[in-house]
Amino acid sequence: MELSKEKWSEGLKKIKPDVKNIFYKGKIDLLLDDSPKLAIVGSRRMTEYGARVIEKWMPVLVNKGVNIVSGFMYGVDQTAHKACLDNGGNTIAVLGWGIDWPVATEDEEMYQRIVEVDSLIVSEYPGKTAPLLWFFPQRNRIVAGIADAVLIVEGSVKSGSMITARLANRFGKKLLAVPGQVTSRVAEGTNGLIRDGKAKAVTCAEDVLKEMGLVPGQLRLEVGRIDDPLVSLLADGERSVDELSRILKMEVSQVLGKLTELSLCGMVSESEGKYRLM
Amino acid sequence: MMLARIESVACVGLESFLVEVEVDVAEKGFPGFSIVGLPDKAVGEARERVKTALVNSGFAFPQKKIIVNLAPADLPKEGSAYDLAMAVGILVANGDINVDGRDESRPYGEGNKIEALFYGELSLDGSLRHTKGTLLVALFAKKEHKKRIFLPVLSANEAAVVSDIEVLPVRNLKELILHLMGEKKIEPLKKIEIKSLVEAASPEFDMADIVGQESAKRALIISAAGGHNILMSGPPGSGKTMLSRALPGIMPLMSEEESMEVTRIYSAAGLMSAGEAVVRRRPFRSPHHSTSMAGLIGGGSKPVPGEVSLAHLGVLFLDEMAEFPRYVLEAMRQPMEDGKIEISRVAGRVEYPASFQLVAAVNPCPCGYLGHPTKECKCSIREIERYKRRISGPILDRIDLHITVPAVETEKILATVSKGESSFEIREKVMKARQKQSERLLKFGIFCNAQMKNKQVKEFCRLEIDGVHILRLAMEKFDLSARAYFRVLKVARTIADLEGSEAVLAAHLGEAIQYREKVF
Repeated sequence: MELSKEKWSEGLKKIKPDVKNIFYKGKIDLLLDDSPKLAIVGSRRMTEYGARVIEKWMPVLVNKGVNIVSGFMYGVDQTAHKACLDNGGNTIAVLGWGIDWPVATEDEEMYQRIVEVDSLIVSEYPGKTAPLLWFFPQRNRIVAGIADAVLIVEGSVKSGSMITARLANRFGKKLLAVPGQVTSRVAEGTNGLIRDGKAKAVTCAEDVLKEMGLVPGQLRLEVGRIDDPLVSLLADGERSVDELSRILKMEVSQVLGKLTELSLCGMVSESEGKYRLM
Repeated sequence: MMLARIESVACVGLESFLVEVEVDVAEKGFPGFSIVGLPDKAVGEARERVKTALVNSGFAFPQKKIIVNLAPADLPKEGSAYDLAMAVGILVANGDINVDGRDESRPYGEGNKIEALFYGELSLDGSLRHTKGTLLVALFAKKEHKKRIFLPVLSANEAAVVSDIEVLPVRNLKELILHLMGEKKIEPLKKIEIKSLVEAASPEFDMADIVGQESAKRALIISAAGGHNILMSGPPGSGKTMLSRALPGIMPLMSEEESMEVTRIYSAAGLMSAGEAVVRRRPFRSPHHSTSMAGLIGGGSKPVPGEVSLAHLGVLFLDEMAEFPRYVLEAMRQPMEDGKIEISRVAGRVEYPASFQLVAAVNPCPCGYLGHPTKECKCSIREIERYKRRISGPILDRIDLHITVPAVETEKILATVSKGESSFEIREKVMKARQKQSERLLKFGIFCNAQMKNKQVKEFCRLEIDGVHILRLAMEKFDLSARAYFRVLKVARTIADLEGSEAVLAAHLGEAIQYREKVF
């Protein structure tokens, strides 16, 4: 399906050189809504290290509602798509060939899966356009363009990832890089970006969230929580569980459950048995 | 003149062995009285006790050469319980009493052997003293198909709980001899039913008598319901000791087997009081922090049960846990893991059960007043940190519930607080929850949630999607380890069982997360 130009998001319009068309399969809302999007790109020759970083960080990112954008190439790209879907997240795959071009057999399962679970596949090229070498760098400008931040996991100096990195800098997107071993070929690119001050080094998923302006580990606050009697009671000063249950005439178990919720929202903290508002 | 063989029992740890007391009274030879068969000091001194007791009971002590052999001769014998067998042996061997023949009035005789076990310590006046280990003797008799045992009247009740054997309570030597001669019968004890005794025992401390401390009480209920170890942190005087004393009273009533198991240990350790039949309440032990390692986990050159075994199926309360020497606490890891303790010494290897529920109490800092509403804490930050590091990770890993017990401001409370549930009511709920757990877990050889391994946690603590979400967030926010994750799930399972819910709901999880491990 083609996305009509009226519906294009600001992000798409800003991409230079201009994107001609957007063809898609799956849930196009992912591209258009204002959910946080992180592009994860890197080398096709990914090492075990890169895979581990992605698999370890992904649950935290997905849990926070971050959608993962990548280029559907084997290596880092597909690992990112797969880890994202495994953790129940949404992913956007940007293809370097026509939207209907038959993908290689080994990629087909992933391709089907993205469509089936209501994630999104997009491409600039219509129908069965066959992939050409220069399509891939072209595709990278869309990857960088639609994401809020770009995370480079691994990449050598002359890889496509470095192109994406340059584009991200040009579009004014946050550029993040995972530091690697200085002796590793696939880490030369990422370490170089960090050394030159072009990318920010991130060493854990929380770092990524912070860079994207999201605070780790918080439930989204439900409206109306503020006038909860428990909250207004704590606003007057710190209290123990016993006092809270006595004053509110609530069972201890209920008070504790509520305090857990409020702590997870980041509203309440505890020390030495006393709870207080943050 | 002749040789008498009297049977008695040796108790080593919780095991018992048959000991044949052979007594030879010889006409020839220099008069004397010697005991062979590896007797210890207490057995050796039986010579004086037996001699005096016989004389004071109106028998003439034979002025002949008396040899007592305790067979098997290579098993070390200890204690005073062979007195009775020796005294009877001497009388038989000397021909003072005639147990020969099988007529109605003298039913036990067969040659020079008496078909019964004799066990008990003699007093100088010929009466029998309270002797430890009589339950073990009775169990041994049942196992070995011995029909009759003669025991001191003060200790015989312990044995009367065992079925299929005849327990004859002996007040003194004279009565025993009259009985053996068939002149005046001693009536065997009626079997004592454990169940009614256990049920009739009221809890020592009632939860309803504890004012305030609602959250600590709630945690104790969960602890009792799931068999979870618990750590309480709070300033001195906040009631940690009182709370933990109430725990045995809300744990499920002991079954007959459990009561018997505990009694076995107490009987072997000589901690049963005279006339007591069984331990009716779950034990509560609170060793002081100066207790030695042998005192806590058991030991000595002849291994005796330690506090962990005396707390078997009950509560072990470690007050000021951080003050215990580290190596003593580390030694508790095996019993906490396996529910038993193995003690190896030169004198032998002994195994005692030690499946207890741990209640640990700690102060929040060395002086105890950190976070106290009125008193000032005088500790430096460094002191506090060092204090908190004293309990090692592996021990904390075995504690599922961590709570803070705040200082009580009595005046404030008395006005507003209503009396809580009584221990009796709570116990009903706890037993219901336990019932569910054992139905679920018995096929794995365990009976409460605290004993679940990770595999069972995965199977029985499945969460709904919102629960998964909350737990993930909590792990991130509170930086929970994988171990802590499983502990939270176990506690949530117990809360669900208490509420009678099959599924572990988000509400249960929310509460469980508040009992997570804090830096104590």
